[in-house]
Amino acid sequence: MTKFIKAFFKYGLIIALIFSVCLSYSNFTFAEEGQPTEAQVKAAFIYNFGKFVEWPADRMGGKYFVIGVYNDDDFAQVLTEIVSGKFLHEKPILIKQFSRIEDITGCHILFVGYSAKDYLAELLNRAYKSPILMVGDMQDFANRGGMINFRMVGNYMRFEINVNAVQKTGLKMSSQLLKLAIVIK
Amino acid sequence: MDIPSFLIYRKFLHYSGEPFKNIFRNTILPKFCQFITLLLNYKKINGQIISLPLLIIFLANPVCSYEIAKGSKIGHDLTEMSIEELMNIEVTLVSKEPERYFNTPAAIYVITNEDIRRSGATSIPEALRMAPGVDVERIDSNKWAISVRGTASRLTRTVLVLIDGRSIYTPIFGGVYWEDNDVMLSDVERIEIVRGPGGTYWGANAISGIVNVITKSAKDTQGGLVSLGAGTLERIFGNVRYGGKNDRGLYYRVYAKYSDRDGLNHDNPDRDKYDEWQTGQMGFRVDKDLSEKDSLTVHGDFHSARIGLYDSVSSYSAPYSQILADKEDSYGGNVVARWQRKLSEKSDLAFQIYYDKVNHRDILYDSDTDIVDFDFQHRLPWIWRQQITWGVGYRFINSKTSGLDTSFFRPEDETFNLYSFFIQDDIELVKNRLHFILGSKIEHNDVTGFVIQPSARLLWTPTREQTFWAAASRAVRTPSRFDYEYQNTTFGGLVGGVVPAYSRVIYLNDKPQDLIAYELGHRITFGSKFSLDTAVHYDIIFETPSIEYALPSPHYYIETTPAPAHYVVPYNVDHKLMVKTFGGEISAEYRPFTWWRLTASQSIFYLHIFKDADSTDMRSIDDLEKATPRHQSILRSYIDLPANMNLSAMFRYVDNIPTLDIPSYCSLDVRLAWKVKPNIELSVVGQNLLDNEHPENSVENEIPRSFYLKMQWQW
Repeated sequence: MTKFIKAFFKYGLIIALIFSVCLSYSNFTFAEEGQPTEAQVKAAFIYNFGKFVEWPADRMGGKYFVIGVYNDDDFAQVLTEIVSGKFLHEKPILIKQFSRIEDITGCHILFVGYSAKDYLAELLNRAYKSPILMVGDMQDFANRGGMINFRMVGNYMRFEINVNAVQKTGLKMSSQLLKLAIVIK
Repeated sequence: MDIPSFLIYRKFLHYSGEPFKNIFRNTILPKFCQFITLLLNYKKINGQIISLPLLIIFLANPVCSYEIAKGSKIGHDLTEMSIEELMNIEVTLVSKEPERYFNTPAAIYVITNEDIRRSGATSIPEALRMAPGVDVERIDSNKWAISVRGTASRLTRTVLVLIDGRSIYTPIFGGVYWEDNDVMLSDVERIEIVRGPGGTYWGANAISGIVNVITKSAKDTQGGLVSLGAGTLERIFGNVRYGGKNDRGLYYRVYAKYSDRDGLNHDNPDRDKYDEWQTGQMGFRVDKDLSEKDSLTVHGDFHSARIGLYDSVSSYSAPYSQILADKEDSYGGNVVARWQRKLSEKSDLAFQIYYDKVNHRDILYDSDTDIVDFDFQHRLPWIWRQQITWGVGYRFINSKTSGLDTSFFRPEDETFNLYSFFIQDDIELVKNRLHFILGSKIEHNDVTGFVIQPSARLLWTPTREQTFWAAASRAVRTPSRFDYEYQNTTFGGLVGGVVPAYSRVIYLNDKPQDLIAYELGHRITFGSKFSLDTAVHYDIIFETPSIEYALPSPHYYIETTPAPAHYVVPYNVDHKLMVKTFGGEISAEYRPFTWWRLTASQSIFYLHIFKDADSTDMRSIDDLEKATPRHQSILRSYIDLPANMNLSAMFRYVDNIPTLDIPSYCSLDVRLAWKVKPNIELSVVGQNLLDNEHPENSVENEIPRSFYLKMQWQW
């Protein structure tokens, strides 16, 4: 091994890293092209779910259509980007982030990420009362009483719907949506 | 405040966020900046080197005032698509692993299951080579010297190693017998490596680092797995695992593994193949949810190894000193039970109990250790913007030893009790932006009495893409029996060709080694493709062992028993050295395409030794300071190829170790894997491809270029 290569690896890496940070200084960003990410697809799904579900009239009094995100800041960011400026049920969409269960109020749809798996019972209690359409992203979410759950089948996004859970809350779900879902009873 | 501090202060102030500007401006920042200038002015430090990582932090800093464009550069609006159309979009999953650690106020690095699989590593030490700031030196085929931010030796005593919550740090020897401890690597979920002290949370001996091996839940290892392999250094190995469940929701797995490894290359014919190494291990794990809130985990292992050893042994009669090469059998086993209860959101209880037995045989002494450990931990609900966690622990250690008349422990057998209590408070000063974490561990043990290990950490998240953290902590190493009960006598020569002379080292150091560490860190991500993690540290270690003359000049006396009469120069192991270390690690990950991942890291480590004025330690300061590689670079590339193949490569550069006469080296490991069918994978691994052989810790033992072939079948 020549001295040059050794010297390069002694200091070269630092130089390369500084260089890369300098690039970021000049507002250089690593743009993502082409394929949408998993989170972006999920966000679009959630927007679509909103179209196919009817909430009781007393829940539709507010100014905004509120989509809540529990404990997943990254997803909230993506969701905001995807649905910004869009309307659901003739109301502008507002994204709210929640980090504590007590704070969850006044949303129509609530997305709970994987990190919520240990507090599911409490979250569901709240969702049944309100009612909120709970959308989850974890194994067994629909089996354990969640309403809609994302599931990857191969490289494609699918979703499960727990029909009993939806009926319990008083939400009305279009049969069109049920046709596309993996129904869990 | 002097001028350089003020300049740093201004630079920081400019970019800090509005909400807590006042606290930050008036108290935290001036102290912090003074500390940095102090570091930069520190006489023995090459200013350029420490300023590099700092420079990077400053350069990266303005980025927090930018809004980084992230994602959504898709040509079309996804919300315009129907559900049917969305269902036809192909989605590629990206591992979420690194995000979980983004907001950790410590220098943490995670080696995932995928990293281990694709590296081709066949043991924990080999897997640790992937992590920055970790110095892995293979001494011989079955022994490693591993350290994190410190000098590595077989006796590295400042790194705490845990496997599923069980400490494998041996209390006799005060280190880790890497040759005894193994895991089923395909069932490892991740290895977390914390650089820097973790005494507040983990307790004693977590001084310069923690290695935490976490295996998968039995729920995630359902089904069977068989892998078989053969090669040059890894002569033959096999792993079998089967996981199942019963209809009451009890998940289990059982496994067994065997490996037979060749010795390294030795120029000296006496050493030929002395270090051959065979290990066998089997174990189980059971996971069950007892109720909605309670879960129980029980796991256990039994391991046995035949280890090739080589050492020089002294005796009081002729031939006085001889080389012994020997094969010894060591064995051990453990059972761990862990019960967890969720009390509410962010509040839980955990109780763990384990029993561990290790019977280790070596040339100079044998040991047999039984450990029983209880641990209880309670995370209180979130109140007043605070999360309090507290816990208590008790460990009982019973150890038995037997040695030689020139190498022994007095007393041979001993019991040891360790009580501990810890409390930690995580205070959210500014919502989602600024956390202050304060905690302390209080321990009581039979040798040193009460020991307090506090730490304070500050975590600042100005944007979602960026995290800064700073920490000051104290950590303490409890003396192991080796530190205060061991005695070793070595033959030095015949005086006048007749009377044998010996040097005798008596270990009497019952003072705990004490470290104060200051750390700074920064993490940043640019989109989902590029991320950068930087950490710098400055540590002061007090009460570091020194070897002192026990007698005034001329330092020797004549001993008549055991006969024949001989000269002895006794030394006491005291604690008259102070060590200051500083350094940093920077690591980057870049995913240019979904099929290509690159990671790079660079570590720098400097160590300075200061002797007390009255120390008579004969070792040269220069030798003590240059016993560790100062620079280390790692570059890894993971490429998914077409036709279900993938190619992984790891390149490493490791600086020289002047004290041990080890030259710097470059190494390249390559693995090519082919999934013949979805459940059958063939792989070929080549290690140390760049040279025929090179030493890493001992010039007598060289690591050769090696290859192996492996087949894995899963169902």
